[in-house]
Amino acid sequence: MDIIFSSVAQGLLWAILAIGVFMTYRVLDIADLSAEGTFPLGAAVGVTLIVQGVPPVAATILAMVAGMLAGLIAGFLHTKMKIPALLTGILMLTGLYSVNLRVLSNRANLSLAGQSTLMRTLQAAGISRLASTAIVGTIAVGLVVVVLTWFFQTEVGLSLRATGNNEVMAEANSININLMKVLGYMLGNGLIALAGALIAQNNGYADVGMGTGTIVIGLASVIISEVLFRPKKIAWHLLVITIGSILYRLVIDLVLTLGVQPQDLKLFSAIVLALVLWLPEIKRLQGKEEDRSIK
Amino acid sequence: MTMLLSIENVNKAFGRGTIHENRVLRDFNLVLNTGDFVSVIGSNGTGKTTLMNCIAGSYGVDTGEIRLGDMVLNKQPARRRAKYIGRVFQNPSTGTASDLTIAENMAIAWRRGERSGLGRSVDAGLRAMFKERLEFLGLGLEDRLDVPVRYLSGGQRQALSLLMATLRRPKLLLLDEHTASLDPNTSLQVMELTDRLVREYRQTTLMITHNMQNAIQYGNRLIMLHEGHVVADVSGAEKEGLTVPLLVEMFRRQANGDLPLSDKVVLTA
Repeated sequence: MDIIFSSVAQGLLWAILAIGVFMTYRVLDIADLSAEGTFPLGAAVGVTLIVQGVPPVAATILAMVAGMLAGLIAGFLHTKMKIPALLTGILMLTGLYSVNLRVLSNRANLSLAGQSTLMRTLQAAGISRLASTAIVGTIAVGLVVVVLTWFFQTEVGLSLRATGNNEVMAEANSININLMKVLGYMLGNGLIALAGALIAQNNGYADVGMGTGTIVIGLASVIISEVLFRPKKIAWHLLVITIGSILYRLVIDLVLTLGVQPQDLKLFSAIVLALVLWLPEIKRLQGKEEDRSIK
Repeated sequence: MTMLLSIENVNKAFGRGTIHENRVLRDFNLVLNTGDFVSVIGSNGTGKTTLMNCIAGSYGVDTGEIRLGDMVLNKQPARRRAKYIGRVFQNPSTGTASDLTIAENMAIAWRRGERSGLGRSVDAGLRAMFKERLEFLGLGLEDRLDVPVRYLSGGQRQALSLLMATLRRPKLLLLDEHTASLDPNTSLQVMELTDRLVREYRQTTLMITHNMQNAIQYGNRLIMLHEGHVVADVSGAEKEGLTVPLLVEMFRRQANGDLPLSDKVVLTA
Protein backbone atom coordinates (compact mmCIF):
# COMPACT_ATOMS: atom_id res chain seq x y z
CA MET A 1 0.00 0.00 0.00
CA ASP A 2 2.84 2.31 0.91
CA ILE A 3 4.50 1.53 -2.40
CA ILE A 4 1.36 2.48 -4.29
CA PHE A 5 1.02 5.74 -2.40
CA SER A 6 4.70 6.43 -3.01
CA SER A 7 4.28 5.79 -6.74
CA VAL A 8 1.29 8.13 -6.88
CA ALA A 9 3.12 10.88 -5.00
CA GLN A 10 6.21 10.60 -7.21
CA GLY A 11 4.09 10.24 -10.33
CA LEU A 12 2.60 13.66 -9.61
CA LEU A 13 6.07 15.25 -9.68
CA TRP A 14 7.04 13.36 -12.83
CA ALA A 15 3.76 14.45 -14.47
CA ILE A 16 5.22 17.94 -14.82
CA LEU A 17 8.07 16.48 -16.87
CA ALA A 18 5.53 14.62 -19.00
CA ILE A 19 3.52 17.80 -19.59
CA GLY A 20 6.73 19.56 -20.61
CA VAL A 21 7.50 16.78 -23.10
CA PHE A 22 3.88 16.99 -24.31
CA MET A 23 4.39 20.69 -25.12
CA THR A 24 7.04 19.99 -27.72
CA TYR A 25 6.18 16.44 -28.76
CA ARG A 26 2.44 16.85 -29.22
CA VAL A 27 1.59 20.55 -29.27
CA LEU A 28 4.53 21.58 -31.48
CA ASP A 29 4.97 18.17 -33.11
CA ILE A 30 8.73 18.30 -32.46
CA ALA A 31 10.67 15.47 -30.80
CA ASP A 32 12.90 17.51 -28.49
CA LEU A 33 15.66 15.65 -26.70
CA SER A 34 16.74 18.79 -24.81
CA ALA A 35 14.78 17.34 -21.88
CA GLU A 36 17.78 15.13 -21.07
CA GLY A 37 19.77 18.29 -20.37
CA THR A 38 17.13 20.66 -19.03
CA PHE A 39 15.82 18.21 -16.42
CA PRO A 40 19.19 18.02 -14.59
CA LEU A 41 19.64 21.75 -15.29
CA GLY A 42 16.50 22.48 -13.27
CA ALA A 43 17.73 20.14 -10.54
CA ALA A 44 21.22 21.69 -10.47
CA VAL A 45 19.99 25.28 -10.44
CA GLY A 46 17.33 24.58 -7.81
CA VAL A 47 19.61 22.66 -5.47
CA THR A 48 22.55 25.05 -5.84
CA LEU A 49 20.36 28.06 -5.07
CA ILE A 50 18.87 26.36 -2.02
CA VAL A 51 22.34 25.47 -0.76
CA GLN A 52 23.28 29.13 -1.21
CA GLY A 53 20.37 30.13 1.00
CA VAL A 54 17.67 31.02 -1.51
CA PRO A 55 14.19 30.04 -0.25
CA PRO A 56 12.94 26.81 -1.88
CA VAL A 57 9.98 28.46 -3.65
CA ALA A 58 12.18 31.11 -5.27
CA ALA A 59 14.87 28.53 -6.12
CA THR A 60 12.25 26.34 -7.79
CA ILE A 61 10.90 29.23 -9.86
CA LEU A 62 14.42 30.28 -10.90
CA ALA A 63 15.14 26.69 -11.92
CA MET A 64 12.14 26.89 -14.22
CA VAL A 65 13.42 30.17 -15.66
CA ALA A 66 16.78 28.51 -16.34
CA GLY A 67 14.93 25.79 -18.27
CA MET A 68 13.08 28.43 -20.27
CA LEU A 69 16.38 30.07 -21.20
CA ALA A 70 17.68 26.70 -22.38
CA GLY A 71 14.46 26.38 -24.39
CA LEU A 72 15.10 29.80 -25.90
CA ILE A 73 18.50 28.62 -27.09
CA ALA A 74 17.06 25.38 -28.45
CA GLY A 75 14.38 27.39 -30.26
CA PHE A 76 17.04 29.66 -31.74
CA LEU A 77 19.08 26.69 -32.97
CA HIS A 78 16.04 25.12 -34.57
CA THR A 79 14.24 28.13 -36.06
CA LYS A 80 17.02 30.59 -36.87
CA MET A 81 19.97 28.30 -37.54
CA LYS A 82 17.58 25.76 -39.14
CA ILE A 83 19.13 22.82 -37.32
CA PRO A 84 16.82 19.78 -37.45
CA ALA A 85 14.88 19.20 -34.23
CA LEU A 86 16.60 15.92 -33.38
CA LEU A 87 20.09 17.43 -33.75
CA THR A 88 19.03 20.51 -31.83
CA GLY A 89 18.12 18.24 -28.92
CA ILE A 90 21.41 16.37 -29.13
CA LEU A 91 23.39 19.63 -29.18
CA MET A 92 21.41 20.92 -26.22
CA LEU A 93 21.81 17.85 -24.03
CA THR A 94 25.50 17.61 -24.85
CA GLY A 95 26.19 21.28 -24.15
CA LEU A 96 24.04 21.34 -21.05
CA TYR A 97 26.04 18.49 -19.51
CA SER A 98 28.99 20.88 -19.10
CA VAL A 99 26.72 23.71 -18.01
CA ASN A 100 25.17 21.49 -15.35
CA LEU A 101 28.61 20.48 -14.04
CA ARG A 102 29.48 24.19 -13.83
CA VAL A 103 26.25 24.98 -11.99
CA LEU A 104 27.11 22.20 -9.52
CA SER A 105 30.56 23.82 -9.06
CA ASN A 106 32.33 21.06 -11.01
CA ARG A 107 30.87 18.30 -8.89
CA ALA A 108 28.84 15.35 -10.18
CA ASN A 109 26.25 15.81 -7.47
CA LEU A 110 25.18 18.11 -4.71
CA SER A 111 23.30 17.10 -1.57
CA LEU A 112 20.51 18.98 0.13
CA ALA A 113 21.33 17.40 3.51
CA GLY A 114 20.40 19.79 6.26
CA GLN A 115 18.82 22.25 3.82
CA SER A 116 15.25 23.42 3.58
CA THR A 117 13.17 22.10 0.65
CA LEU A 118 9.54 22.49 -0.36
CA MET A 119 8.81 19.04 1.05
CA ARG A 120 10.72 19.56 4.29
CA THR A 121 8.90 22.85 4.88
CA LEU A 122 5.68 20.83 4.98
CA GLN A 123 7.25 18.05 7.05
CA ALA A 124 8.23 20.66 9.64
CA ALA A 125 4.49 21.20 10.08
CA GLY A 126 4.09 17.56 11.04
CA ILE A 127 3.15 16.11 7.65
CA SER A 128 4.62 12.73 6.68
CA ARG A 129 7.36 12.54 4.07
CA LEU A 130 5.15 10.81 1.50
CA ALA A 131 2.25 13.18 2.10
CA SER A 132 4.55 16.18 1.66
CA THR A 133 5.62 14.83 -1.76
CA ALA A 134 1.98 14.28 -2.71
CA ILE A 135 0.95 17.76 -1.57
CA VAL A 136 3.78 19.53 -3.42
CA GLY A 137 3.08 17.41 -6.49
CA THR A 138 -0.65 18.11 -6.43
CA ILE A 139 -0.19 21.85 -6.04
CA ALA A 140 2.46 22.02 -8.77
CA VAL A 141 0.56 19.87 -11.26
CA GLY A 142 -2.66 21.69 -10.43
CA LEU A 143 -1.07 25.06 -11.11
CA VAL A 144 0.52 23.86 -14.35
CA VAL A 145 -2.71 22.32 -15.64
CA VAL A 146 -4.82 25.39 -14.76
CA VAL A 147 -2.35 27.88 -16.24
CA LEU A 148 -1.80 25.85 -19.42
CA THR A 149 -5.53 25.26 -19.90
CA TRP A 150 -6.05 28.99 -19.70
CA PHE A 151 -3.06 29.66 -21.94
CA PHE A 152 -4.18 27.31 -24.70
CA GLN A 153 -7.43 29.24 -24.97
CA THR A 154 -5.73 32.60 -25.41
CA GLU A 155 -4.93 34.01 -28.84
CA VAL A 156 -1.24 33.19 -28.45
CA GLY A 157 -2.01 29.72 -27.12
CA LEU A 158 -4.25 29.01 -30.09
CA SER A 159 -1.56 30.28 -32.49
CA LEU A 160 0.93 27.93 -30.84
CA ARG A 161 -1.38 24.95 -31.28
CA ALA A 162 -2.10 25.89 -34.90
CA THR A 163 1.64 26.13 -35.61
CA GLY A 164 2.23 22.62 -34.31
CA ASN A 165 -0.82 21.27 -36.08
CA ASN A 166 -0.44 22.85 -39.52
CA GLU A 167 2.46 25.18 -40.24
CA VAL A 168 1.30 26.12 -43.72
CA MET A 169 -2.13 27.09 -42.43
CA ALA A 170 -0.59 29.01 -39.53
CA GLU A 171 1.67 31.01 -41.82
CA ALA A 172 -1.16 31.66 -44.30
CA ASN A 173 -2.98 33.21 -41.34
CA SER A 174 -0.06 35.51 -40.54
CA ILE A 175 1.11 33.60 -37.47
CA ASN A 176 4.83 34.00 -36.77
CA ILE A 177 5.58 30.29 -36.71
CA ASN A 178 9.21 30.67 -35.64
CA LEU A 179 8.21 32.78 -32.67
CA MET A 180 5.58 30.23 -31.70
CA LYS A 181 8.10 27.39 -31.91
CA VAL A 182 10.55 29.27 -29.70
CA LEU A 183 7.73 29.90 -27.23
CA GLY A 184 6.81 26.22 -27.24
CA TYR A 185 10.44 25.22 -26.67
CA MET A 186 10.62 27.67 -23.75
CA LEU A 187 7.41 26.50 -22.10
CA GLY A 188 8.27 22.83 -22.56
CA ASN A 189 11.82 23.09 -21.24
CA GLY A 190 10.73 25.43 -18.43
CA LEU A 191 8.31 22.76 -17.22
CA ILE A 192 10.92 20.02 -17.58
CA ALA A 193 13.41 22.05 -15.50
CA LEU A 194 10.67 22.69 -12.93
CA ALA A 195 10.16 18.93 -12.69
CA GLY A 196 13.92 18.51 -12.26
CA ALA A 197 13.99 21.01 -9.38
CA LEU A 198 11.03 19.37 -7.63
CA ILE A 199 12.33 15.82 -8.03
CA ALA A 200 15.82 16.83 -6.83
CA GLN A 201 14.27 18.37 -3.71
CA ASN A 202 12.24 15.24 -3.15
CA ASN A 203 15.31 13.02 -3.59
CA GLY A 204 17.47 15.31 -1.47
CA TYR A 205 20.18 15.85 -4.10
CA ALA A 206 20.92 16.88 -7.68
CA ASP A 207 23.01 14.60 -9.89
CA VAL A 208 24.53 15.52 -13.23
CA GLY A 209 23.52 12.12 -14.61
CA MET A 210 19.89 12.28 -13.56
CA GLY A 211 18.77 13.40 -17.02
CA THR A 212 19.48 10.08 -18.72
CA GLY A 213 16.20 8.55 -19.78
CA THR A 214 13.95 11.49 -18.93
CA ILE A 215 12.65 11.74 -22.50
CA VAL A 216 11.67 8.08 -22.31
CA ILE A 217 9.78 8.63 -19.06
CA GLY A 218 8.02 11.69 -20.44
CA LEU A 219 7.05 10.08 -23.73
CA ALA A 220 5.87 6.88 -22.05
CA SER A 221 3.57 8.88 -19.75
CA VAL A 222 2.14 10.86 -22.67
CA ILE A 223 1.53 7.80 -24.86
CA ILE A 224 0.08 5.71 -22.01
CA SER A 225 -2.43 8.47 -21.33
CA GLU A 226 -3.36 8.74 -25.01
CA VAL A 227 -3.77 5.00 -25.50
CA LEU A 228 -5.88 4.60 -22.37
CA PHE A 229 -8.01 7.73 -22.49
CA ARG A 230 -7.91 9.03 -26.07
CA PRO A 231 -8.23 12.62 -24.84
CA LYS A 232 -9.76 15.11 -27.28
CA LYS A 233 -9.90 18.34 -25.31
CA ILE A 234 -6.55 19.76 -24.35
CA ALA A 235 -7.42 20.38 -20.65
CA TRP A 236 -8.47 16.77 -20.33
CA HIS A 237 -5.29 15.76 -22.15
CA LEU A 238 -3.16 17.51 -19.51
CA LEU A 239 -5.06 15.79 -16.72
CA VAL A 240 -4.77 12.30 -18.17
CA ILE A 241 -1.04 12.78 -18.74
CA THR A 242 -0.83 13.08 -14.97
CA ILE A 243 -2.62 9.75 -14.66
CA GLY A 244 -0.33 8.27 -17.33
CA SER A 245 2.68 9.46 -15.39
CA ILE A 246 1.40 7.89 -12.16
CA LEU A 247 0.67 4.60 -13.96
CA TYR A 248 4.16 4.56 -15.44
CA ARG A 249 5.66 5.13 -11.97
CA LEU A 250 3.51 2.27 -10.62
CA VAL A 251 4.78 -0.08 -13.34
CA ILE A 252 8.40 0.86 -12.63
CA ASP A 253 8.03 0.52 -8.86
CA LEU A 254 6.18 -2.76 -9.33
CA VAL A 255 8.94 -4.33 -11.40
CA LEU A 256 11.51 -3.15 -8.89
CA THR A 257 9.65 -4.95 -6.11
CA LEU A 258 9.37 -7.99 -8.40
CA GLY A 259 13.15 -8.22 -8.45
CA VAL A 260 14.35 -6.29 -11.51
CA GLN A 261 17.75 -4.90 -10.58
CA PRO A 262 18.08 -1.10 -10.53
CA GLN A 263 20.91 -1.22 -13.10
CA ASP A 264 18.52 -2.93 -15.53
CA LEU A 265 15.83 -0.30 -15.03
CA LYS A 266 16.75 1.90 -17.99
CA LEU A 267 16.68 -1.08 -20.34
CA PHE A 268 13.36 -2.04 -18.88
CA SER A 269 11.92 1.47 -19.29
CA ALA A 270 13.12 1.56 -22.89
CA ILE A 271 11.36 -1.75 -23.53
CA VAL A 272 8.20 -0.44 -21.86
CA LEU A 273 8.24 2.66 -24.07
CA ALA A 274 8.87 0.61 -27.22
CA LEU A 275 5.85 -1.53 -26.36
CA VAL A 276 3.71 1.48 -25.54
CA LEU A 277 4.70 3.17 -28.81
CA TRP A 278 3.75 -0.03 -30.60
CA LEU A 279 0.22 -0.07 -29.16
CA PRO A 280 -1.39 2.41 -31.59
CA GLU A 281 0.03 0.41 -34.50
CA ILE A 282 -1.35 -2.83 -33.09
CA LYS A 283 -4.75 -1.22 -32.69
CA ARG A 284 -4.54 0.13 -36.21
CA LEU A 285 -3.68 -3.29 -37.60
CA GLN A 286 -6.74 -4.61 -35.83
CA GLY A 287 -8.70 -1.86 -37.54
CA LYS A 288 -9.86 -0.39 -34.29
CA GLU A 289 -8.40 3.04 -34.48
CA GLU A 290 -7.89 5.76 -37.05
CA ASP A 291 -4.28 6.25 -38.04
CA ARG A 292 -2.55 8.55 -35.65
CA SER A 293 1.02 7.77 -36.42
CA ILE A 294 3.84 8.54 -34.05
CA LYS A 295 6.18 11.05 -35.58
CA MET B 1 -11.02 50.38 -62.60
CA THR B 2 -8.05 50.57 -60.30
CA MET B 3 -5.03 48.39 -60.54
CA LEU B 4 -4.68 46.07 -57.53
CA LEU B 5 -1.95 43.56 -58.28
CA SER B 6 0.90 44.19 -60.65
CA ILE B 7 3.58 41.68 -61.47
CA GLU B 8 6.41 43.16 -63.50
CA ASN B 9 9.16 41.25 -65.26
CA VAL B 10 9.24 38.55 -62.63
CA ASN B 11 11.71 35.72 -63.07
CA LYS B 12 11.78 32.66 -60.88
CA ALA B 13 14.02 29.68 -61.46
CA PHE B 14 14.68 26.58 -59.37
CA GLY B 15 18.08 24.97 -59.09
CA ARG B 16 19.82 28.05 -60.48
CA GLY B 17 23.37 27.47 -61.65
CA THR B 18 22.94 23.69 -61.88
CA ILE B 19 22.28 21.52 -64.90
CA HIS B 20 18.78 21.05 -63.53
CA GLU B 21 18.05 24.76 -63.68
CA ASN B 22 14.36 25.20 -64.33
CA ARG B 23 13.21 28.68 -65.30
CA VAL B 24 9.59 28.54 -64.25
CA LEU B 25 8.50 32.18 -64.55
CA ARG B 26 10.19 34.07 -67.40
CA ASP B 27 9.84 37.85 -67.59
CA PHE B 28 6.38 37.35 -66.27
CA ASN B 29 3.90 40.26 -66.41
CA LEU B 30 0.34 40.40 -65.13
CA VAL B 31 -1.98 43.13 -63.88
CA LEU B 32 -5.16 42.50 -61.91
CA ASN B 33 -7.76 45.21 -61.38
CA THR B 34 -9.84 45.54 -58.25
CA GLY B 35 -12.85 43.26 -58.56
CA ASP B 36 -11.32 40.98 -61.19
CA PHE B 37 -12.11 37.27 -60.92
CA VAL B 38 -9.42 35.69 -63.07
CA SER B 39 -9.12 32.00 -63.94
CA VAL B 40 -5.66 30.71 -64.74
CA ILE B 41 -5.18 27.60 -66.85
CA GLY B 42 -2.15 25.91 -68.32
CA SER B 43 -0.48 22.52 -68.34
CA ASN B 44 1.44 21.05 -65.43
CA GLY B 45 4.82 22.60 -64.76
CA THR B 46 3.98 25.79 -66.54
CA GLY B 47 4.33 27.99 -63.48
CA LYS B 48 0.78 28.37 -62.14
CA THR B 49 1.47 27.28 -58.60
CA THR B 50 4.88 28.98 -58.63
CA LEU B 51 3.06 32.19 -59.55
CA MET B 52 0.75 31.77 -56.54
CA ASN B 53 3.66 31.02 -54.23
CA CYS B 54 5.55 34.09 -55.43
CA ILE B 55 2.51 36.31 -54.87
CA ALA B 56 1.80 34.82 -51.42
CA GLY B 57 5.47 34.96 -50.44
CA SER B 58 6.17 31.25 -50.03
CA TYR B 59 9.09 31.87 -52.39
CA GLY B 60 11.01 35.02 -53.13
CA VAL B 61 11.38 36.02 -56.78
CA ASP B 62 14.77 36.19 -58.53
CA THR B 63 14.11 39.47 -60.30
CA GLY B 64 11.15 41.74 -60.92
CA GLU B 65 8.58 43.36 -58.73
CA ILE B 66 5.27 42.32 -57.25
CA ARG B 67 3.05 45.15 -56.03
CA LEU B 68 -0.28 45.11 -54.27
CA GLY B 69 -1.88 48.55 -54.46
CA ASP B 70 1.02 50.86 -53.69
CA MET B 71 2.90 48.28 -51.59
CA VAL B 72 5.91 46.41 -52.90
CA LEU B 73 5.49 42.84 -51.67
CA ASN B 74 8.92 41.47 -52.62
CA LYS B 75 10.58 41.92 -49.25
CA GLN B 76 7.61 41.03 -47.08
CA PRO B 77 7.53 37.53 -45.58
CA ALA B 78 4.50 35.34 -46.26
CA ARG B 79 2.98 35.97 -42.86
CA ARG B 80 2.94 39.74 -43.44
CA ARG B 81 1.43 39.36 -46.87
CA ALA B 82 -1.23 37.12 -45.33
CA LYS B 83 -2.81 40.25 -43.91
CA TYR B 84 -3.80 41.25 -47.44
CA ILE B 85 -3.88 37.93 -49.23
CA GLY B 86 -6.23 35.04 -48.48
CA ARG B 87 -5.37 31.62 -49.79
CA VAL B 88 -7.09 28.29 -50.40
CA PHE B 89 -4.93 25.30 -51.27
CA GLN B 90 -5.54 22.25 -53.42
CA ASN B 91 -5.34 19.82 -50.52
CA PRO B 92 -8.30 20.34 -48.15
CA SER B 93 -6.01 19.42 -45.23
CA THR B 94 -3.68 22.34 -45.93
CA GLY B 95 -6.03 25.25 -45.33
CA THR B 96 -7.31 24.23 -41.91
CA ALA B 97 -5.74 22.87 -38.70
CA SER B 98 -7.29 19.43 -38.26
CA ASP B 99 -6.90 19.08 -34.49
CA LEU B 100 -8.51 22.45 -33.82
CA THR B 101 -12.25 22.95 -33.82
CA ILE B 102 -14.18 24.86 -36.48
CA ALA B 103 -14.51 27.81 -34.09
CA GLU B 104 -10.79 27.75 -33.28
CA ASN B 105 -9.84 27.62 -36.94
CA MET B 106 -12.09 30.57 -37.66
CA ALA B 107 -10.69 32.46 -34.68
CA ILE B 108 -7.21 32.10 -36.17
CA ALA B 109 -8.46 33.37 -39.52
CA TRP B 110 -10.20 36.21 -37.71
CA ARG B 111 -6.95 37.32 -36.01
CA ARG B 112 -5.11 37.37 -39.31
CA GLY B 113 -2.83 40.36 -39.61
CA GLU B 114 -3.39 41.42 -36.00
CA ARG B 115 -1.20 41.06 -32.96
CA SER B 116 -2.07 38.13 -30.75
CA GLY B 117 -2.21 38.68 -27.03
CA LEU B 118 -3.41 36.81 -23.99
CA GLY B 119 -7.05 37.61 -24.60
CA ARG B 120 -9.54 34.81 -25.00
CA SER B 121 -9.32 33.48 -28.54
CA VAL B 122 -12.99 32.51 -28.92
CA ASP B 123 -15.67 34.43 -27.05
CA ALA B 124 -19.46 34.49 -27.28
CA GLY B 125 -19.47 37.44 -29.67
CA LEU B 126 -17.11 35.73 -32.09
CA ARG B 127 -19.03 32.47 -31.88
CA ALA B 128 -22.24 34.25 -32.88
CA MET B 129 -20.46 35.89 -35.80
CA PHE B 130 -18.84 32.59 -36.88
CA LYS B 131 -22.23 30.86 -36.76
CA GLU B 132 -23.71 33.52 -38.98
CA ARG B 133 -20.89 33.22 -41.52
CA LEU B 134 -21.09 29.42 -41.49
CA GLU B 135 -24.82 29.59 -42.25
CA PHE B 136 -23.84 31.22 -45.54
CA LEU B 137 -22.24 27.91 -46.56
CA GLY B 138 -25.51 26.03 -46.08
CA LEU B 139 -23.66 22.92 -44.91
CA GLY B 140 -24.93 22.79 -41.33
CA LEU B 141 -21.46 23.59 -39.98
CA GLU B 142 -22.94 26.36 -37.83
CA ASP B 143 -24.16 23.66 -35.43
CA ARG B 144 -20.73 22.00 -35.23
CA LEU B 145 -18.58 24.88 -34.00
CA ASP B 146 -16.80 22.71 -31.42
CA VAL B 147 -16.08 19.76 -33.70
CA PRO B 148 -12.41 19.26 -34.64
CA VAL B 149 -11.98 19.94 -38.34
CA ARG B 150 -10.51 16.49 -38.91
CA TYR B 151 -14.06 15.07 -38.74
CA LEU B 152 -15.17 17.18 -41.72
CA SER B 153 -15.30 15.88 -45.29
CA GLY B 154 -12.93 17.26 -47.93
CA GLY B 155 -15.67 19.45 -49.40
CA GLN B 156 -16.66 20.81 -46.00
CA ARG B 157 -13.03 21.58 -45.21
CA GLN B 158 -12.59 23.41 -48.51
CA ALA B 159 -15.77 25.39 -47.91
CA LEU B 160 -14.48 26.30 -44.45
CA SER B 161 -11.08 27.21 -45.91
CA LEU B 162 -12.81 29.55 -48.36
CA LEU B 163 -14.77 31.18 -45.59
CA MET B 164 -11.61 31.56 -43.49
CA ALA B 165 -9.61 32.98 -46.38
CA THR B 166 -12.24 35.65 -46.98
CA LEU B 167 -13.23 36.28 -43.36
CA ARG B 168 -11.15 39.46 -43.14
CA ARG B 169 -12.01 40.56 -46.68
CA PRO B 170 -8.44 40.34 -48.02
CA LYS B 171 -7.46 42.56 -50.91
CA LEU B 172 -6.67 39.47 -52.95
CA LEU B 173 -7.89 35.87 -52.83
CA LEU B 174 -5.68 33.11 -54.26
CA LEU B 175 -7.34 29.80 -55.12
CA ASP B 176 -4.85 27.09 -56.05
CA GLU B 177 -6.89 24.36 -57.76
CA HIS B 178 -9.06 24.36 -54.71
CA THR B 179 -11.63 21.96 -56.16
CA ALA B 180 -9.20 19.58 -57.88
CA SER B 181 -9.07 16.96 -55.15
CA LEU B 182 -12.84 16.82 -54.62
CA ASP B 183 -15.32 14.49 -56.30
CA PRO B 184 -17.20 16.08 -59.26
CA ASN B 185 -20.36 16.79 -57.29
CA THR B 186 -18.58 18.34 -54.31
CA SER B 187 -16.28 20.19 -56.65
CA LEU B 188 -19.34 21.79 -58.28
CA GLN B 189 -20.76 22.78 -54.88
CA VAL B 190 -17.49 24.38 -53.76
CA MET B 191 -17.22 26.20 -57.11
CA GLU B 192 -20.76 27.56 -56.76
CA LEU B 193 -19.94 28.65 -53.23
CA THR B 194 -16.76 30.33 -54.44
CA ASP B 195 -18.74 32.25 -57.03
CA ARG B 196 -21.29 33.38 -54.41
CA LEU B 197 -18.57 34.52 -52.02
CA VAL B 198 -16.63 36.36 -54.70
CA ARG B 199 -19.78 38.13 -55.90
CA GLU B 200 -21.03 39.02 -52.45
CA TYR B 201 -17.68 40.46 -51.34
CA ARG B 202 -16.71 41.76 -54.82
CA GLN B 203 -13.56 39.87 -54.01
CA THR B 204 -10.57 40.27 -56.33
CA THR B 205 -9.61 36.65 -57.03
CA LEU B 206 -6.96 34.70 -58.89
CA MET B 207 -8.03 31.10 -59.41
CA ILE B 208 -5.91 28.31 -60.85
CA THR B 209 -7.99 25.52 -62.29
CA HIS B 210 -7.52 22.42 -64.39
CA ASN B 211 -11.16 22.43 -65.29
CA MET B 212 -11.67 24.34 -68.53
CA GLN B 213 -15.43 24.45 -68.12
CA ASN B 214 -14.97 26.17 -64.76
CA ALA B 215 -12.43 28.54 -66.23
CA ILE B 216 -14.92 29.57 -68.91
CA GLN B 217 -17.99 29.62 -66.71
CA TYR B 218 -16.65 31.58 -63.73
CA GLY B 219 -14.94 34.91 -63.48
CA ASN B 220 -14.66 37.87 -65.82
CA ARG B 221 -11.25 37.05 -67.24
CA LEU B 222 -9.27 34.01 -68.26
CA ILE B 223 -5.53 33.74 -68.71
CA MET B 224 -3.49 30.91 -70.05
CA LEU B 225 0.09 30.23 -69.01
CA HIS B 226 2.63 28.40 -71.10
CA GLU B 227 6.34 28.06 -70.37
CA GLY B 228 6.29 30.79 -67.79
CA HIS B 229 4.43 33.39 -69.86
CA VAL B 230 0.87 34.54 -70.24
CA VAL B 231 0.03 33.33 -73.77
CA ALA B 232 -3.64 34.30 -73.78
CA ASP B 233 -5.69 36.82 -71.86
CA VAL B 234 -9.40 36.84 -72.59
CA SER B 235 -12.11 38.94 -70.99
CA GLY B 236 -15.44 40.67 -71.60
CA ALA B 237 -17.52 39.63 -74.60
CA GLU B 238 -14.74 37.46 -75.99
CA LYS B 239 -14.76 35.39 -72.82
CA GLU B 240 -18.57 35.18 -72.86
CA GLY B 241 -18.39 33.50 -76.26
CA LEU B 242 -15.76 30.94 -75.26
CA THR B 243 -16.44 27.23 -75.47
CA VAL B 244 -14.15 24.38 -74.54
CA PRO B 245 -13.35 23.44 -78.18
CA LEU B 246 -12.68 27.11 -79.00
CA LEU B 247 -10.38 27.36 -76.04
CA VAL B 248 -8.46 24.24 -77.02
CA GLU B 249 -8.10 25.52 -80.57
CA MET B 250 -6.99 28.94 -79.37
CA PHE B 251 -4.32 27.51 -77.12
CA ARG B 252 -3.10 25.18 -79.82
CA ARG B 253 -2.47 28.26 -81.96
CA GLN B 254 -0.89 30.26 -79.14
CA ALA B 255 1.57 27.53 -78.42
CA ASN B 256 2.46 26.96 -82.09
CA GLY B 257 0.70 23.66 -82.45
CA ASP B 258 2.14 22.31 -79.27
CA LEU B 259 -0.98 21.61 -77.25
CA PRO B 260 -0.06 23.20 -73.96
CA LEU B 261 -2.66 21.34 -71.96
CA SER B 262 -2.28 18.14 -70.07
CA ASP B 263 -4.50 15.20 -70.92
CA LYS B 264 -6.15 15.74 -67.60
CA VAL B 265 -7.39 19.16 -68.67
CA VAL B 266 -8.87 17.89 -71.88
CA LEU B 267 -10.53 14.97 -70.14
CA THR B 268 -12.11 17.12 -67.48
CA ALA B 269 -13.31 19.63 -70.05
